[in-house]
Amino acid sequence: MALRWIPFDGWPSRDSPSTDSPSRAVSPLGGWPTLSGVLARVRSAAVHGIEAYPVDVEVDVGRGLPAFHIVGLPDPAVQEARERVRAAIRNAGYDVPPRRITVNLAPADLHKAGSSFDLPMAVGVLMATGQARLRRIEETMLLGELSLDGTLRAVTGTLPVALAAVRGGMASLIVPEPNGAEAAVVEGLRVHAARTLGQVLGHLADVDALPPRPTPPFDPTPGVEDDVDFRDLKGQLAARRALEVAAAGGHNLLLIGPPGTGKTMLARRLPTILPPLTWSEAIEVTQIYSAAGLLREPSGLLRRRPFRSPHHTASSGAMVGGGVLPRPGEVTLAHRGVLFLDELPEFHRDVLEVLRQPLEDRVVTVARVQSTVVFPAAFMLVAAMNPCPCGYRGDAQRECLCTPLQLTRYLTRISGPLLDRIDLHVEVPRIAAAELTSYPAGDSSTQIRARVVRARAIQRERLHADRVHRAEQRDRREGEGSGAAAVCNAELSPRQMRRCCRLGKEEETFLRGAIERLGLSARAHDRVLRVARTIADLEDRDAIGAAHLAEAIQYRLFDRPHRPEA
Amino acid sequence: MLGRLGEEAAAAALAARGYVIIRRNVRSRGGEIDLVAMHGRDLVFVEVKTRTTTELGSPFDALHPGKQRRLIRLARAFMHREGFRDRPCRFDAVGVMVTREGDVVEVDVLPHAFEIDR
Repeated sequence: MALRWIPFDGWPSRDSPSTDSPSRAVSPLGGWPTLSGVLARVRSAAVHGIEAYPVDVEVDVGRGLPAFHIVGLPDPAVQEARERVRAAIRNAGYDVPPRRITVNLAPADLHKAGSSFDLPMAVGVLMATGQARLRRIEETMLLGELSLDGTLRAVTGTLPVALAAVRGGMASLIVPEPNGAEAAVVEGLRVHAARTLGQVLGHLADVDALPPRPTPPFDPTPGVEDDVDFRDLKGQLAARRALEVAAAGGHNLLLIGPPGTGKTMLARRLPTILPPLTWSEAIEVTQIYSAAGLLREPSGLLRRRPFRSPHHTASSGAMVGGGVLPRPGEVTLAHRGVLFLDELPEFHRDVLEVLRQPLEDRVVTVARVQSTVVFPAAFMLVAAMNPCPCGYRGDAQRECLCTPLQLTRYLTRISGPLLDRIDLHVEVPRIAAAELTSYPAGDSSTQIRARVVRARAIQRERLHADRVHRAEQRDRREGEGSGAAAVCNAELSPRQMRRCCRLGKEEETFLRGAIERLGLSARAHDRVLRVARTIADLEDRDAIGAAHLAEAIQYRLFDRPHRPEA
Repeated sequence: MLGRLGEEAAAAALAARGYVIIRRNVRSRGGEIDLVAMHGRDLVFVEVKTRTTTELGSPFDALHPGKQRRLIRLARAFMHREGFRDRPCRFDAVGVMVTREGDVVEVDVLPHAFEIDR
């Protein structure tokens, strides 16, 4: 096998180690390099949580007994890179000389995982052994798994790495071909996708440049083909209306009804009426799924709102994320989308308890011995449950067989604090089969979404005007939630509500009267107001009227006194 | 005796490839290094393994990780004793196949056969 030598550049001086210009390679004139301390440095990155941080792959070729050591807390997959890098280098027509080769993945005190360091390691070894002279390597980030024959394979977490490359001031990024579309989504970076190690070397040596991948333009209203649609639903007009209200204001929702009435069908269709993801939301979602290794390649930006439906046996760890190298949990995978908890009372109390932080702050903090990771978790919660253990309480045709004790136990399994975060309670009753066919088909998802988008636009404008007004009055305060600023009615803080949801005197009297008559709790007041604000927005009305309040009050089923308080 | 025959054949093959044999059968308490040679600028420690044609398997099968570690230790000691501290070095293996009668059938030279394993 012929070795390829690139023209000699001059021996680096031993007195002034050139750590600033690792591209100055040493070229042998015959035999292997005999100077010790030849160091190559290749830029790469590693994913921690859903963000990537820069990793320098340093390769040193020294004297001493031949060895190939990888240091920097590598996990087994990284350790095995040794064999892959060796074989790939050989099969690309180069050699791995019998030298003491040390690869350091800096920073050395953070655990490294995965196979994405294969490519930077191979390039580093070739540089340090004088077999390749590469230009502008300091401003290029490399990432990729190597097959034994030198082919580049896809890796996970390409998008977080691309974002880190931009943050770190890198000029270009080289990724495996299947990850090209994902990386190209990021602006401010020249992205090149390569198929083989040979291609990467040719590109870096300026001999055979790879074309840069252009960033595709962002279409704000993509024609995403959903396989489900609101048109599929028959009957259940009240529930459909409730979902529209929930979508319009971003309100969390509880569906109560006997088994088989379509609660799951309803929940599954909620993402189809939510507004399309904005560019930054799409980046967030794609970044999360990339870090979690859930992107199917080749993949550009994800455009659909996520829908996650964990089984009620899911653990707290599965729900919020974790593991030694923190991975996103269900609440993060549902970020900017819908988290559906079917059979809510069947969920373990502890598991529901961990939902409190994300529902409150729209983020979830996962603390480990080594580090703390904050994952985004701004999702809409939809929960479903039966009205009682047997499922037939309130049913027109069948009798409920539950004892009062059974009923009490069942209903108190839902904690107060969780219910506090759910603005809408909707009944999804059983419909007689005969009625199903007589109902007219409802609006399509596209039609409903258009109304939702208009209502959300009204809320955004109102909140923007409110923020400007507050800034003018220099009205700063701490306790408005640690998450992002409110973008919809469900996220209104109590103070924002006082400014944005003012009621006329008559309406206020009406509301208080209704609360008293129905025996609702005092907390119901604010929740009803938020929902009424959304209902008014759907009608494009600035003032909240009694009709809006009346509808909103309907959605407080679970608060009524016949429900035993926890 | 078969071993001696194999070493002769190996030495001849290496010489033909430009190796300069500088020591043979370096013995110390931990064991023995079959051949020490110079190849270009490299110091090469050679392990010779001889097999008869009737035996199964490759001669290199006997070069298992335990043996490799021992050779590395011996090499280190040798380099330290003889003052070869900073010289680039490597471990080669030579497999020799002979017939029962003593005729050399094949000599297989394997440069950089192994190195330090983690």
